[in-house]
Amino acid sequence: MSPKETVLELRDIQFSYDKSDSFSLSSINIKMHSGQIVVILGPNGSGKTTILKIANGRLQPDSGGVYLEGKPLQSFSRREIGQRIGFVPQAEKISFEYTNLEYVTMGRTPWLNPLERPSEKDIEISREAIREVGMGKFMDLPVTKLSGGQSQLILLARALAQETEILLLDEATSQLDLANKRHFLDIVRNLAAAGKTIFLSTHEPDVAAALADKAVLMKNGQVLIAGPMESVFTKENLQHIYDTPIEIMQLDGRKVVLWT
Amino acid sequence: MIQRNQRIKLIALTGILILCLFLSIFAGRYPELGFLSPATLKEDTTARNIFFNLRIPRIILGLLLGMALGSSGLFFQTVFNNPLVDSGMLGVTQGASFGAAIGIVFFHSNPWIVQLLAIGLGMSGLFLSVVSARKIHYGGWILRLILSGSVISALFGAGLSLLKVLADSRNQLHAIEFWLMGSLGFTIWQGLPLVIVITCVCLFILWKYRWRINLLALDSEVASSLGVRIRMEQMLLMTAAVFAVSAATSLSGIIGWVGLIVPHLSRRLFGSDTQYSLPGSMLIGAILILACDNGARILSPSEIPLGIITSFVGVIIFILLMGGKKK
Amino acid sequence: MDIKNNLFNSPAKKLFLLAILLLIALILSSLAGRFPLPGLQSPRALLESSLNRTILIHIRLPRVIISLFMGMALATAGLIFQTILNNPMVEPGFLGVSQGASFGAALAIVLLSGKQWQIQILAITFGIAGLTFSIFLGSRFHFGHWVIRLVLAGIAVSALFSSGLGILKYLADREEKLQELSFWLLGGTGGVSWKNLLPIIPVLLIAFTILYLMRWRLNLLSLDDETALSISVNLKAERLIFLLCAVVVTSLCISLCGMINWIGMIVPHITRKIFGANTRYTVPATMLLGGLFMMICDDFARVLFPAEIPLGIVTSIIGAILFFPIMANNKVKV
Repeated sequence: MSPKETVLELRDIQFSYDKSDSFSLSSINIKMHSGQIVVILGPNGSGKTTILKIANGRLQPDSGGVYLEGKPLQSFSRREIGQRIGFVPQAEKISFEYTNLEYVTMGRTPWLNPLERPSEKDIEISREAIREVGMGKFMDLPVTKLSGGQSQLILLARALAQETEILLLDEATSQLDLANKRHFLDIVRNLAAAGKTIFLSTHEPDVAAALADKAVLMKNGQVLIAGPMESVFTKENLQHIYDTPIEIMQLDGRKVVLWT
Repeated sequence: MIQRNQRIKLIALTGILILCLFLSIFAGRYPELGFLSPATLKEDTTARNIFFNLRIPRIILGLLLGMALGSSGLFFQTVFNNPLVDSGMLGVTQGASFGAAIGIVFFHSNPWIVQLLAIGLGMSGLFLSVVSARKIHYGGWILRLILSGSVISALFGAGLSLLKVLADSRNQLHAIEFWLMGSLGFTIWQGLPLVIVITCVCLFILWKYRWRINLLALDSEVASSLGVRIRMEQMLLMTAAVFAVSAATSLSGIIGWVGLIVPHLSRRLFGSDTQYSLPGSMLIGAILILACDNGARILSPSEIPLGIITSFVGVIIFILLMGGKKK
Repeated sequence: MDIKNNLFNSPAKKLFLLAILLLIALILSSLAGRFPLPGLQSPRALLESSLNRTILIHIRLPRVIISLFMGMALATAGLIFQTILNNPMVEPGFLGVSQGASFGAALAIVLLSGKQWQIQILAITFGIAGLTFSIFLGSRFHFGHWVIRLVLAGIAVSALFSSGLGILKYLADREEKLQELSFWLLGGTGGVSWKNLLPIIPVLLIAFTILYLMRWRLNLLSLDDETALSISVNLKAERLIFLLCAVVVTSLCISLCGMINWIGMIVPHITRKIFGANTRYTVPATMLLGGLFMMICDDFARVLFPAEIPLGIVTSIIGAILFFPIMANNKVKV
């Protein structure tokens, strides 16, 4: 297989929120190419969300840099970044009673110039995205009345409507029930198969096991180990980052993680 | 640890308040600019007169007013989760002003009538706001209260403006505007006992509930799961807060901005826990009013309306505190 | 099954109806007055004599137009502030603009000779000064999210100007100008003529056009910062544009007519109740509704009684009357 081009790279990232803070990220190096699913796995507070925010330029690293399509992230305008990297947060505070369709359509913003409004085509793309995550029935209902899991699906739909090559997902499955989680994982796999790059953070080893081509295991702001799933996803490594006894079993060709 | 710190701050503030009280009682322009000594009190009947009939009632009112404004402002900002509210937003300030204006224009500024109309119409503002909030179908309960409170305020405000237009500019308009700017200068013993009783009872209720107010700021789902009877407790405390302010301002006129600013000051000092920020607001409010009132009556021979000074001083302190270094 | 396609529920249809209503109101307002006879007059009667014509063109028309613009300005500014600051209680003047403008006008009335142009200039100057000071102060606070800092700064600046206003009222009393000052503070379109109206019309039109073209983007400014940035919204610039437009139109109108506080706070809520949250519709709807409302109120203010009722009084009363039926209505509008 010919080596694929690196689409997104975090090089030598050092970061801390506050000089005096105990938490800091150090020596983060991650490379991603298209069609690849990279999962950051780690316990709560290990720095996963921070890495994602650095990856889309929301936070500036103290040293090191992010490279998009080989060029430094700073050389892109906000709009260009928006057209290439989509971000799905874990949850969002919503102040007004938008309908789900209106809310998802806001994801089309990077493709509109400031004086433009979403066109019929934009709205159709948003409709498609909502149907794709299985929320079609909720199209014209208020976004404020959704359950936690439903909101997460809508947030994913918005990122899908954004039509970016790279998707960053922050704990995006935390509130999904089994059926929805499975559906979600299917969507993500399809996106990767279509050539998108997925960079996703989770604290659930099962999600990593189901999706990842490459895993980055984190603890306390440090990368414990990063690499292809087969080599990295071991009982020893998982026990190390979670400080908890773990068993990994094979079930129908899938890895299942149990804590004992 | 934190509790000790907070308690220390409260004690310090109380100390400052007591100091203020002393200053206020003994400082003045009689017989000349400076302090009144006990000796003078014994001998000079005019001094005694001023002391007992003018100064003491005024100080008492100032104390109660400050405590009422501070605590009710904090209560409303907490429960409504909005830094722009104070006790007046539910039609109370405008209602009281309207009532006072009626008393001034149609009843020759009879102090009893002005006072009773102010309290009565102020409380009716609260009542009307709550009743009409129930009728609205838009947004959550808090938003509905805010909106209907705003409408009721506007209605009373319109009535007030109408009265201002009808008022005779020589005396009545002057009296209305003065009432709207507030002053402790008209306080005499008549009317004060009523205010003392109402305010003390209401302030006591607020003080007793000081920790539970935290809960009223929570999401209603969460609060009821914790056993809070939200509507009932909200109503009780709201009525207490508004009643206290109505009673005190019925004698002093409207002192604006204090109820808005003091809670922020208190929160800056004590954090968000109302267990401490509520008594804190009471103390800061009282100190602010007394200190400003001292300024109002000492600095110039003809008294400057209190409302002007409190908003000015309050804001300066506010700006200084807010501009300080991050904690 | 799409609700949007239902004939009577479509926002576009509602906007159209609103626009028609506005047009009718505009025409009727021009025909209403107290001269030559109180009430509505026919166009022929109005154009008959040169006196009637003069009244129509030079006195009545400017008032109708400014009340239209002022309603549009205050209501839309209120919508913008409420959306960007996520606070349902804000009104356009709260960042020190209304208290500043009132202070400036009071200066003109009490310390100068109270001529119309003096009031206008000082009102605008201090209104904008109030805003600038609020923004400056907000940037110096080190406490909390930028929205809270701005709001608190607005409170502080408003309080300062309000105390200054209090001092001026005190002085006004001594100089027997209190009544004049009180009257100005209550608001009204009485002082408007083509001379002071024409210069501000182009600015108003430009601001309204910008706001109309960018109306959908306002939605994005209600999102939390994280989200807005990730969909490439240029937060600083876009907020600035919206806020600037809002403040400019507000200040210009206040300088001519005094401050009508309440409409900027309430009309956006009414619009949201009827049209939903999408600013693509609520921006134009608020403009239309605000303009319609203010025109009607001004009509009542000048026509009802021989002596003119201050506008602030009329807007409160009519506003309250309209508010409850609309907001109490049970139908869910999507």
